[in-house]
Amino acid sequence: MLDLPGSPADNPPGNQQARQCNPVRAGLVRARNTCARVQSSTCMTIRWQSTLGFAVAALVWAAPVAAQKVTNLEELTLSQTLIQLVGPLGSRPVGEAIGAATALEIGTSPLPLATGNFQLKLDPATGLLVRVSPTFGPTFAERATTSGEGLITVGASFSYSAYEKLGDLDLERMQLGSVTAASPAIANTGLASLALSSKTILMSGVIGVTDNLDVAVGVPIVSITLDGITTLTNGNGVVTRRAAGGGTFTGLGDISALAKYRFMRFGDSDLNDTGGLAFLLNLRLPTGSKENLRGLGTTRTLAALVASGTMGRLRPHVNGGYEFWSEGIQIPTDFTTGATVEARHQIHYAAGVEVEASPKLTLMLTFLGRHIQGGGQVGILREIAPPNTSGITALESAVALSEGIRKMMLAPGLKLNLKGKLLLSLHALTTLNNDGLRPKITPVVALDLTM
Amino acid sequence: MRKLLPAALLGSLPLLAIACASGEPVGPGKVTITETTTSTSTTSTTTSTIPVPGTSKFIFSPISPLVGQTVFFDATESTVPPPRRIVNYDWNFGDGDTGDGPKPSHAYAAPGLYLISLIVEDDAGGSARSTQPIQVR
Repeated sequence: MLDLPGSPADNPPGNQQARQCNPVRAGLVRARNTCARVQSSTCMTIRWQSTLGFAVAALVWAAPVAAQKVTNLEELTLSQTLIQLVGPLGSRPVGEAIGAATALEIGTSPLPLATGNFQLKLDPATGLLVRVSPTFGPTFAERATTSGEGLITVGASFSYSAYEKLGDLDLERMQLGSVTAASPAIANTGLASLALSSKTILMSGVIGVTDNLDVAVGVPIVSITLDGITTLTNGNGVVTRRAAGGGTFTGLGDISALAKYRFMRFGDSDLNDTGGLAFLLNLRLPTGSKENLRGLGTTRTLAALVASGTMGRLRPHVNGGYEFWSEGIQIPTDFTTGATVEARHQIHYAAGVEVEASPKLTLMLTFLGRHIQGGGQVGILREIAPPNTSGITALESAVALSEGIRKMMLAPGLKLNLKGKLLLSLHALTTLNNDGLRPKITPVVALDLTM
Repeated sequence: MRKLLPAALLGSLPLLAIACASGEPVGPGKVTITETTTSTSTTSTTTSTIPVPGTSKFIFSPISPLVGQTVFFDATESTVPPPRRIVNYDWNFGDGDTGDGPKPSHAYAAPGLYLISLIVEDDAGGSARSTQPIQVR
């Protein structure tokens, strides 16, 4: 899969021991774990064999040989794991930048917590409850329609994201930093290969408090899996530092509490919902572990306006709002100066359309946008070194930048009425741009039951 | 489809159970670091397992000092997981001199770019290292 330095071909002839002890990068996990387990036996054997060869060679040529120090770190949080994987690369906190980008992506990803799937009203002519909207409503955005007094909807959803990019950097082969110097012993390049993914289960409940007011709660359980290898290679091609590790970090995310109040109804008939205007308040509580990047550690309050209407068979909806964060996310950018960038507050916007494909099937497409303000983008910072005795001419580091993160996504999907008031939702969240941590297509499946 | 989706959700229940059962006082993360140096005389391998590391952090002032000017270092933002406590600050100022304590000071005798390193050790045997360059004018 990858060809990071540290594979046998990258080590020079004199570094025989490092060559044998470093597993080949292909077969990432298994090979690495195997080496870690048998390090004291297998590598010892190899070393004796190599030593015999060196003893002969040393008679005619004093080739350099390797001394290794192996350190096993355990019981790390996800944040610590990233920092230890990346390791010290000059004064720039690279691990912190990647960790912050991860937390910002996990913490601000849209939750499938839309309200008002079914809106039922008593038809005085027939005495029966009837649906007043032919569609089931969007999933990641809102329409103005509310559930109706007394209706309760419970649901569960599952989503899976595998991340492929951090800004413009490929996670599979990511440059962490480099030092350019005249001496190959001082010059070095840091590379990382990170496999990062997340699974989220959202348990949700919505209740129609009045005909125009819905209240909802969403409890996300988030599991993040990291598996990574990093190398620091000097100008001679010798891997001077190699770190491998990861883990699966599971727990509660930031709980969402939502209230939607419709203050204007389009049209006159109570039995035919043609849209309206609503005010939305969404509170995200800091219940997710900040150390394990499942939460942002700040209380977020989104105030938004929601509009929806009718255009023939189409049901368009538009949302726009601003999310206030009680505290900013401080991301260090330079240990030397103590400089940080702060990510704080977020703009939300969404626009989409639903169409009634059949009475039991709604198709939809929603565009979702969000803009985290202040900072959080990760990019390569290039610096020209001042005159120095070490011969260092330039430094490069992956750091958090003072640019906010703009995410644009498309959420095509469907809602299928399986039976009674049981809805199945299927979506494929697609990120359109390379800001922040970018997942591949995120499948989302949800079941909602209205009672 | 009706059978597959509930099954998919049920398959995720262990994840939910793990999340609810574990208070997660420490993380499950593991990292193995292999540091290699070359020499013409020795071959050795040292393997050690240490507990959760803390964080080694330091700042210094002035950022770009003159030769002979005293530079003040501050590592008090270094942390270790409670209830452990930091027992040693091991400084290397990059010019051959070393120091200890959370707030040492040092003056450089010649201009140049030096690499400062700090190793913080705690009472459980854990340690964390950080490095920073300093330009002396």
